[in-house]
Amino acid sequence: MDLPVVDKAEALSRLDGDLELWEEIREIWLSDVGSLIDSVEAALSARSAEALRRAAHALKGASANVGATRVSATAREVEGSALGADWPALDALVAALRVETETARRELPTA
Amino acid sequence: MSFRLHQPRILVVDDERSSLHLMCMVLRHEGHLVEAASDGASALEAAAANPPDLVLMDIVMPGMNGFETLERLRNIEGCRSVPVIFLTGMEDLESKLRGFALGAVDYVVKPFHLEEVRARVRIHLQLALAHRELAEEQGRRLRLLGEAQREMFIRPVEIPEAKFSVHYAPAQEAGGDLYDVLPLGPGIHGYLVADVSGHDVGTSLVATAAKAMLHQYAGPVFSPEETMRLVNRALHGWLPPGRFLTASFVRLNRNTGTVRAVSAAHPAPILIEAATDKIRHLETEGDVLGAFAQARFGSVDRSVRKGDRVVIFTDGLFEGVASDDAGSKAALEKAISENSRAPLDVLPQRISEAMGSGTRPDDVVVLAFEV
Repeated sequence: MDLPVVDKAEALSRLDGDLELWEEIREIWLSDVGSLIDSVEAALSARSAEALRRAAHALKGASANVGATRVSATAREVEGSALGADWPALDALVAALRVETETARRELPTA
Repeated sequence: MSFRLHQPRILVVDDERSSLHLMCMVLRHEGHLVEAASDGASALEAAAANPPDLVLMDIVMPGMNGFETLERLRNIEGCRSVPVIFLTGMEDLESKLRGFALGAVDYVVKPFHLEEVRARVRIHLQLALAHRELAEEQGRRLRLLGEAQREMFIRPVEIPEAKFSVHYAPAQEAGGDLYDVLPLGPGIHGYLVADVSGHDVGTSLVATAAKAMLHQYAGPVFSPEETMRLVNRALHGWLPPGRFLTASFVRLNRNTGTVRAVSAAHPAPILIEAATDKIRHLETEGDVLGAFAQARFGSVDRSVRKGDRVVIFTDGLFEGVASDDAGSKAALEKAISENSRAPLDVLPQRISEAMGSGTRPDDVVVLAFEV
């Protein structure tokens, strides 16, 4: 994936360059992302396509706001394909989403 | 445009915390009063407690989604026309169209661009304000129309030989009930009470037009039935579908001592015999006015004596009186019997009061005349 893990410049351009505001939503993301990705995995384990779509939607939105572009893009893929219920493909995609999420979690605090 | 002094109140609804935070911050910085809700149910609660001027709402939410929340919001007093902007990560056309069909005014796609959010919020607040001013202007015009309409109603002092009095209580500024009294020749008068379907500005225009047509077609050369048929034909060519009138038209000939009553699906006039205090319903059948090209109107004739009185009225008089026709009729007979000896100039008012006037939402006209 060519996207940066965190695209802070892009996020700031949407937020009037307001660094303080960006830091606020970064704190929110860092405190919420654990439960957001857990919900995605729980829906996947339960093979609940609708719950998976919704959980991925929430993770996508939160990640897009802060500029966690790879998480957002992967979550979007999960959201878009969840209702197809191709479980082997979704297993792989959600595993990739977990990896992207952990990477962003490491990089965001120092971004 | 004149801006309100009050701060616009904006309700933001989103289950996702960072979006909710962003939205609230940017709007507060703009000087708006912002209330945040993290799901549909608490949004409805907040809206009911304090109707907002604008709502920004996520579509995909756990529990009640944005579409359902919007539908319920429309049933809350003060929120029927509040503009709603959907916040959405969804790019698909279908969900956008569904939102518009439900009455959303706009969309903001996530992730938000704060500048775009500000611009859309500003324009929709301005539009809402313009709508409100337009509604107030329309209300003002309606009042003027109502005043003009009342001035067009003939008053007993203008035509004392017709010996009538009337109680006219429109439920709105410009009402759909009307009455008229027309000289049809020496010693002959026509008395009309009618009720136009609907309650809006169009209603009072129809009422005004119907009166003009009545004046054209009522006269010594036409019988009351012919008058009604001609008015019907003229109205039928002119009224929009679904609009019609019910009417009671009574012609009194004081020279011959006769009344002839014609009904267009209207409550029957009531004759009070002075000698006996007996009450008689001048029942006859007829179609509504304006709905059919070939409408039929029945008539009933009755001999009358000096001092007899006839009362004609609109069905607003029955509003909230009884649960069935028999009960309404009994209440009316009682109201009339109790007041049959009242001076003519207060008789309609007394009857209306005895039937519980002032509490009903419909227009009411009660007209009485004496032979």
